[in-house]
Amino acid sequence: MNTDDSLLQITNLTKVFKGFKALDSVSFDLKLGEVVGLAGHNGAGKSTLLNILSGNFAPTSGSMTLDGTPFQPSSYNDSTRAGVFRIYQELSVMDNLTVAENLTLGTERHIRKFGLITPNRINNIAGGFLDDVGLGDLDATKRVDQLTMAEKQLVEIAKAMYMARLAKIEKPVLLLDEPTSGLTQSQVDFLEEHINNLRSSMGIILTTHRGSELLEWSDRVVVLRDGQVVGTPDPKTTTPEQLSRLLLGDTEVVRHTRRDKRIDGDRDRLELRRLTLPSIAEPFSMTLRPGEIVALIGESEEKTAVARCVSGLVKAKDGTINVDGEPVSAGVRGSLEAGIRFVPADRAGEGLSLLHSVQDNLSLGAMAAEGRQDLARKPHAAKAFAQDLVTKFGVKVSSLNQSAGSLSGGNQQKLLVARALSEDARVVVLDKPTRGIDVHAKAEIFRLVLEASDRGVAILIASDEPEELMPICDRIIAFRDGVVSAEFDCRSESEPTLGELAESIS
Amino acid sequence: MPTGPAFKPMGTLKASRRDRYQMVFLVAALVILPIIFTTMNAQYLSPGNLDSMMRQASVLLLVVAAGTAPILMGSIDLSVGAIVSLCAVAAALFAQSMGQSAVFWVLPLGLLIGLFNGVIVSYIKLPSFLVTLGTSFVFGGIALLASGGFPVQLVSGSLNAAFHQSLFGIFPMPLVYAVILWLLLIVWLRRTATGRFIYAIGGNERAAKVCGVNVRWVKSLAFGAGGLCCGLAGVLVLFSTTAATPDIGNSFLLPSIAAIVMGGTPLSGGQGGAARGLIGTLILVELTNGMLIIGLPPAAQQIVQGIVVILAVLLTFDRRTAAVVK
Repeated sequence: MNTDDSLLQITNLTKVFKGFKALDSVSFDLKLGEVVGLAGHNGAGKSTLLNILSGNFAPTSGSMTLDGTPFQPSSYNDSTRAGVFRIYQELSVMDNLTVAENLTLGTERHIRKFGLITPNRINNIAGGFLDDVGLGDLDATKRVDQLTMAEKQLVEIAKAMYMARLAKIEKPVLLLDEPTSGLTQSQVDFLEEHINNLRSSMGIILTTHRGSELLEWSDRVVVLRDGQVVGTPDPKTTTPEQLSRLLLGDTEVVRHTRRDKRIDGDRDRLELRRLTLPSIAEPFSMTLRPGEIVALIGESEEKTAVARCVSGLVKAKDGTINVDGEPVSAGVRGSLEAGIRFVPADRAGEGLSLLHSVQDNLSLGAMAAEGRQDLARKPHAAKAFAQDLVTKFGVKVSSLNQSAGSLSGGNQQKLLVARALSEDARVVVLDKPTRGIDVHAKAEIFRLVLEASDRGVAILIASDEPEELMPICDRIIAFRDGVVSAEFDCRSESEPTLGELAESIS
Repeated sequence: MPTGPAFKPMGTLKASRRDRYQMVFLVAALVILPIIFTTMNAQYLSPGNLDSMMRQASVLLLVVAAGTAPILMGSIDLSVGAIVSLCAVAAALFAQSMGQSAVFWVLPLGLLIGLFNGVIVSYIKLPSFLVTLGTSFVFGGIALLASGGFPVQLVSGSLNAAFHQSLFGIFPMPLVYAVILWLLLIVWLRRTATGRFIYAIGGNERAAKVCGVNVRWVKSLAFGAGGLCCGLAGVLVLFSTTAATPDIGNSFLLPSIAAIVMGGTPLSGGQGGAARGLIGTLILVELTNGMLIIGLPPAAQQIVQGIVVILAVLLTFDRRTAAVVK
């Protein structure tokens, strides 16, 4: 380890929480112009490390130096002043303000003229700064709610750089926490390109759940497991599979392959006939047989539109949905009565009531969808019902009274899947079910989906990560520019390569 | 490590540590207030004054119950006072034309008025704060029109006794009626699917919708249940004053919201419940009655009441987990 030219040096960092070692003598360094990828599944210590670097936690022992001087931030502001900027996964840009207003927010004393701030002045300052750092294609006058997620990330990064400049920090350190979560592939490429342009003047620590991305973006990779650095593989010679094996350690990598399950007869479980949806150029039709698993992929919103339409949340302008030959009536209730269950992409927004207990969240589904009034009348019945699901689906909870908001993302997702895969389910629609959850949880979700399909449930998945779904899918339908661009049969010999999948959607 | 706001397990009957500590404050207030007032005026705990406090509490308890269901959904009903006024006037008029027992027609009337609020809020999709602020003027205006601007006398009849007697010689009958409806509301909120849906909507309305909850209808029902409680409150207030003025219920609005929040039901919804409104109600009744009995000038009474409401919120509002206060 060469300490001379390192920008950030982390030495033997340890953090103990109530006897639990979240970080165990972690050491590595970050050089100027370098991207260090931090890999590790949930609980491995990534968040703890980022929290120490951004001043949220104080380390139990160990030291850090930033550009040669000791670095001991005691608050987020403290670390920012020293030149370490954390870009949170939940972006903190304000949608109702323009790019320029976001950029200059909190720096008003530098831009006042006669005590006043005019939009013109803000726009000029921000526009000039963006041009200067090579982000000139961001329009400073645009409102942030009109930007894509990737552009919003860039606004956050630009804001950090702007603050660094005002504080006369020449070599800032950026902590990018899951910057690609929720982005489409083209947005990811867009972001990567811009970050590559910016990186020479800073040091970047990056986390992402997508292994291939981590390897592609990083100059070096630091793998954390149970709070310890277990490896620093060279990203150029490491495959995503090798990385994921390193992440999991001795734990068996759960890998499912398509079984030669017999898809039941010729009858269709779900039939979509000429659905007319705003984001799809021509009427969309497809069928799903009992037990079949089909993934919808694509860059834009077609896949989600289909999923939400089947769930009853969005009404198609025209066309019909049939389950087992019977037409499904409109609305969420119509879909539920037909045996369609939906797992939304936005866990916190549409999936769970985070404030309420695991038990309440589970019983809500059965009460509303299956008319289980008894669960409201008899608390012990609701408890038994929830306990049964939690056990069956392996949701890790400390108590059924635990609030859903206190669960990890993966466990929240399992809770949603458990609720959807009830006895009455005939079709389950999952919208981006693996978004932002770790490999363990993904494998668990896949296992649950496969079990449901064995029972004859037809599964429709709208996905951003088709390569992960490959092992469990029977068919993949790809959208591009509002039309179906390809359909792959994953059960035959001619299963698609990742290249073919990528090509079909871009 | 969770770094976001700490979520408390709620919607269960299990009280968290903070809840218990709030309870200590509230119960302490409940005990200390009578001690203070009794030392200042020995009449405070006389049977006569206790009876009058319980009669006051009966109306307030119903208005508190009425406000709870909308607040549990994260909505609010600002028209509860006006509904009480309108129902009191209507009850007096019904009694004049159809005899005293016709007063009970205001229960379904209250229900319909509440449903009307709920339908505007949920089917036309307007914020409950503004809708009920508007309808409170509408209902107040209708009460004024119907009464002609004068108090409407309650004709005497066979029901008078049923309202002026006391159960076991202790509990005034209005309190008994109020408690019965309040208990029914608690059961409805805690032990029926609709009640659970009300909590779920308060926790996450979109998630409730995805789960198949008929959000609009449940919302309407919650406002309707509130209207029903206000209807009975109107009857009780009419029998206690024997004449209904078109603004008779207005003064209950602020104390009712204060009692709900004091009891630990936050305006953000999803947590708390009707049972918790009782303690807030009792504290407010103790306070208002006590200030009266020690002869505090009305202006000072108002100031004290306002300060107490803010102090109560200070005690019960969980400022640690509220990231943003609006």
